[in-house]
Amino acid sequence: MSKISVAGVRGNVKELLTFSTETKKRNFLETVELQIGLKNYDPQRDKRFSGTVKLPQVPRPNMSVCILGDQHDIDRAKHVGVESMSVEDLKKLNKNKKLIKKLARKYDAFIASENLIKQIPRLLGPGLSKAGKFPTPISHNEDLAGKLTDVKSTIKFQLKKVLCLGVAVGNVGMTEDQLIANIMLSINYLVSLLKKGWQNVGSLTIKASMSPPKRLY
Amino acid sequence: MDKFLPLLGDEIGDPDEECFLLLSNKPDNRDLGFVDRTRPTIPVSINSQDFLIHQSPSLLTSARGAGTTGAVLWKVTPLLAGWLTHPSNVFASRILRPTSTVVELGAGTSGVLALSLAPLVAGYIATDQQYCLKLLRKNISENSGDRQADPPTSSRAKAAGNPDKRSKRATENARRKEKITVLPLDWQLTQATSIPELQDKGIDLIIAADCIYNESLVQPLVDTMADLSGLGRTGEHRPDRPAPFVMVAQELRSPDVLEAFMAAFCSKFTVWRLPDALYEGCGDSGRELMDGGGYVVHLGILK
Repeated sequence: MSKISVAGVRGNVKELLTFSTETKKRNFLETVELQIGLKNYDPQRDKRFSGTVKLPQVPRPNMSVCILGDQHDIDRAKHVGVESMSVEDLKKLNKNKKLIKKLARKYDAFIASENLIKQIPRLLGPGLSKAGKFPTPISHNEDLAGKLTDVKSTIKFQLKKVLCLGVAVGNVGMTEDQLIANIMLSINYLVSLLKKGWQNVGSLTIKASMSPPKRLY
Repeated sequence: MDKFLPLLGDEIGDPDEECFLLLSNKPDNRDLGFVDRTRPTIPVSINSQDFLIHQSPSLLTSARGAGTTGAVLWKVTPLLAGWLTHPSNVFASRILRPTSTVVELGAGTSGVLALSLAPLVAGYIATDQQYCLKLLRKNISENSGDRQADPPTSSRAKAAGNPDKRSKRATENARRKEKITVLPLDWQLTQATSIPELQDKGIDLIIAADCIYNESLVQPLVDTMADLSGLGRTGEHRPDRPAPFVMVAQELRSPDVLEAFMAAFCSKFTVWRLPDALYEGCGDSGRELMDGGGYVVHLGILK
C-alpha cells in the first residue's frame, strides 16, 4: 500500500516545474532530485541496501558514458557518437591512481565489452569500484544504443553510513506526467529495499537544482 | 577432499577483483531479498520436502536494539537448501556425508537449512542470537512431525492402507529432530570456542546464509568462522581431521559490505567462488544461484 497519492505528488511537481521553467528559468537543464530521510534504521545492524532500478524516462539525458571496448564495440561507439577507450588506452594509464581517479570522475557511467570485464580490474585496480562505477557488460549481440538508454535510465539507491540519500530522478525539461511516473516508480522501489517498508521512511522531498524543496511525505 | 578441490577452479587471488566481477554483473530491480515480509507463515518446498515455516513480521519491524534481521526468511536460504539437497548435486554429496557435523551461523528463525540438510548428515547445530531461537525451535519441532499436518503420502497409499510408508516418514522426522541442536551464538558477544557443545564435536562444515549485510558484523562473523574452523581442526574426536569447509551464501547488495567481507574472509581463509558448473543440472535453485542472478556462494578453508 502506498502512503502517498499521485494527486499529492502532482501538486508538488506542478509547483516545482512552474518555478523552474517560468518563475526562475535557468540557463541549464536543472536536474530533479528525490531526497530521502530514513528513520527507525540501525546503521550498525540492519541490512545495508543497494539497488538499481530502470525508470521509464531517462532522468539526465546529458549523463556521460564511456565505452571500455574491444575493436568491435569501439567501432559501434563511434557510430552512435559516444566516447570510448580501448585496452591499449587503459594500459597507457599505467595503473596511475591519479589518472584512474580522473577517468572515474570524468564519466557518470561505464559500459564494457563482456569479454574485457575480467581484464579491467587488473588494468585499473580498484579505482572504478571506489567510485562505485562498476561497468555494465555488453555482448556483441546487444544493441549499443539500447544499452546506453538502459544505463542512462537506471538509478541507484545506496545507503552509506548516514540516514539520508539523494537520487536524480528527472529534469525540468520533462512533462508533468513523465516526472510523476519516474518519481512514483522510484519511491515504490525504494520502499521495497527497506526492511520495515514505509515505517523506515522519515521524509521524501523533491527538489530541482535551483528550486526550493517540495516535501512529498 | 583433494579430489574435488579441482572442481572449484582457481582460488580467489584478489578480493577487490572478485568484488568488481560480481558487482559488474548484478541484476537491476531487486528488493531487499525477503521471501515475504508480511506473512506470519509461509510454505517452503525444498526438492521433495515440504515445510510450513513461521516467521515474525512484527519482530522484523520492531524497534529491538540488536537487530531483527533473523525474524524472516531471506531468499538465498531456500535456494542454497534446494541446491545442496538436489539429488544430482555430486559436489554436495561429498561435503555432506552421513558422518558429517554441520554448524550454521545466523540461522535465523526459519530452520530451512537445518530441516532440509539434517537427514543427510550426522548432526546439525543451528545457531543465532537468543531472540531467534524460540521461533527456530518451533519451526524445527513442528516440521519434524510434532504437528499433525504431515502431508498425506498419497491417496493411493492411504487407500491401500500403507502404514509402512507413514511410519517410515515418522521415524525419519523423529531422527531429523534428534539430529538438530539449537544454540545461542552472538558473533559480537560470544567466543565460539567457549561453547561446550561446539568444543568436542569435530566440525566438518560451517554454513552462513545471508549473513553478509552490514560492515559492522563482517569482522565478528569471520572471526567466529575462523575460531570454529580451528576447533574443527583440533577436535578431540579425530585430531588429524582436515579443517572444515566454510560455505557462505549471500545476496549481492552493498559494494562496501561485500568488499569488507571479501577482504576479511580472504585474509584468514583460502577462498573459492562456486563455479556455475557445480549448479548445472541441479534444478531451479541451482539455476538461480548462477552468475548474474544476484547471489553468490563462496567456500573457504582456514589458512
